[in-house]
Amino acid sequence: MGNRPMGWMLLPVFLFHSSYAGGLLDSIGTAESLLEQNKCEELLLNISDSWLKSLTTQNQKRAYWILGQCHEKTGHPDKALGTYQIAVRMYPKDKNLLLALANLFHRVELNQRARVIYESLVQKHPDFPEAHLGLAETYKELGLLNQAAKHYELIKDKKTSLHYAEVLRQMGNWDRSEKIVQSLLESAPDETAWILMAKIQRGKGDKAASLKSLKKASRLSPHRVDLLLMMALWLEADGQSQESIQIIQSILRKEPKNPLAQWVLAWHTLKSGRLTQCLEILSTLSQQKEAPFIARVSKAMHATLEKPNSGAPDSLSTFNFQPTSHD
Amino acid sequence: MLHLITLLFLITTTGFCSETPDAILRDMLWEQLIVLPSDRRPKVGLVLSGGGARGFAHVGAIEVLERGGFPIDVVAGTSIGAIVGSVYANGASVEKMREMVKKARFDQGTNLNSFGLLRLFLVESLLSTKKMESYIRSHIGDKQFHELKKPFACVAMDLKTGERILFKEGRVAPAVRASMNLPGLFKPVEYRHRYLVDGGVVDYIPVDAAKSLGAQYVIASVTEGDYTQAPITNVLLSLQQVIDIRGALLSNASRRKANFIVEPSVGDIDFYQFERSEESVERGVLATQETFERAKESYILSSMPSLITAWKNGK
Repeated sequence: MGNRPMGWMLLPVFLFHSSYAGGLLDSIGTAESLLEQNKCEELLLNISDSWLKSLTTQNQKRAYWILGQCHEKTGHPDKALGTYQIAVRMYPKDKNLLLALANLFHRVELNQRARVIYESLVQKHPDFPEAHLGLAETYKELGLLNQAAKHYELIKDKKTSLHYAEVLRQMGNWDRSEKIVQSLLESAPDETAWILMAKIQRGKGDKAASLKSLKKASRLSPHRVDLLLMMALWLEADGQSQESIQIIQSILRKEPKNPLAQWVLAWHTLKSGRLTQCLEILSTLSQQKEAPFIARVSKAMHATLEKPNSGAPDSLSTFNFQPTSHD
Repeated sequence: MLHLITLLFLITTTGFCSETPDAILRDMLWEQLIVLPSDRRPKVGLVLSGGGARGFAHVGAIEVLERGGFPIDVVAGTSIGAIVGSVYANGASVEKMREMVKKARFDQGTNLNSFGLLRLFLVESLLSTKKMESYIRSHIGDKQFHELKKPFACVAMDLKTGERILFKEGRVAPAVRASMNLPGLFKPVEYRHRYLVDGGVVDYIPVDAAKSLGAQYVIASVTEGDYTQAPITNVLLSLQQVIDIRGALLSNASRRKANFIVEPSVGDIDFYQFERSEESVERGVLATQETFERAKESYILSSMPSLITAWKNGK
């Protein structure tokens, strides 16, 4: 509480139009209701420091939390951070404010800072699922997968099980991961679960099943070009070139410069023996800036194909190109 | 209700977004590359630097590389890197190495105790690392280099000639002992008419050692200390300071020879702070995880000729 006056001095910086302040917010309940209705702009216009000062301690804590949430939702994480920091200085033991601050750090990828807060929260409040979730997510981002798995395990919430399954997949625990996703798909099939299932199956080496799952994901979300591209790439890799190239051509009709679609086309032409056409596509791709890794791969492929004896373990001069009219 | 909103907000804003074209291609090429037999792709060498307790970060680096399926064909290490490297090359799991780290103490394998120190200062009798050999043997057995599961090499220095001595055959335990034998405090290891001390003095990041084992692509885990901040309050720290400075000067050349460097942020951990070993491991995980996708991309780009050849052969 000793820091409270300082907090009041800084607060106006994080309020919008405090001159508009005035009596529109009759209670903390109204503020909560506006936040639930996503009316953040309206809420921010009507929160004033005098209103905040008039609240009881409990309601003040809620008000700061609401204010921070509104700043986040309106795309001002800097203002949200300031709000939470002031609030945490005033109420350093309030677990909801600490959680909000940690969540914000996590969202802006300040994972080490988030981690410290989450760890202290779960230590002091072992039955605080939101803190366990935040910590699990943070550990996952940091690559501390064993620790992440432990906290997901503690939450045991259906909503988070997809994330838990993803951690298990990254740990190479295919069977457990598959089982979780399978049970999710049985209750509520959605595209993200199908994508994860496809990746698990591919990781296990079941390529046919993985393509089926990916197709199901794509059917549920036909607007997602990334899924179509992934499917085309997998099909090409698995030797189903005809189907792959049909997908690629349909993407290229809408997005002629799509770098991955172009790359799959280059790969297809290479495997079909149309070297000149392949080199032309690779040359263009290596210049584009939209997908830097694709540019670098294209450049490396171009260099290798242009100088067939320059380092491949097996001489490329014997590459079995099938001459076509394109060459 | 508001808590639930926060919870869902957190869940939906992390992960499971649409995949970038770069990530989709990287994952597919990676999948194609790592199934190639080791003689049909560039051979990968893992190089582990010196650094005392800092060097346990190598265990964290290995954890992430193993988990992500990064192929490691050969291993080379200096000093603490030789210890971690030999245990890893012998086929130890990450869990087993983590157990080893938990139990690690600075005086392990030495006669560094009050009596030993008294003798050192009164009659200038250097301490011995003889017990280090039994420590190594307790982890890998009394093995020869060729008996390890992965080819392994380590480096020491001949105190009489200043030569860099590369070990890749013979018995492993004495070689590893020589590689981490701090000069000035511990007696040089007499081995094949050589007087051997810590390899960090001549080869802190032994990239050439990995290349001598056939590595064509080198990923180095570097755990240098921040010697500009190091306290130099006793003989031990002064000696380590000399090795760190010399190591840092030499490491520039080695860094240029490596294809990819993972550099855990362990500069604040002193080489003797074995009580912070687990902290080192964790920092190794963090640093490697952060750079892992870039490492994969780097190896894919170095392997394009191999991939093209595989495609040529219809794989």
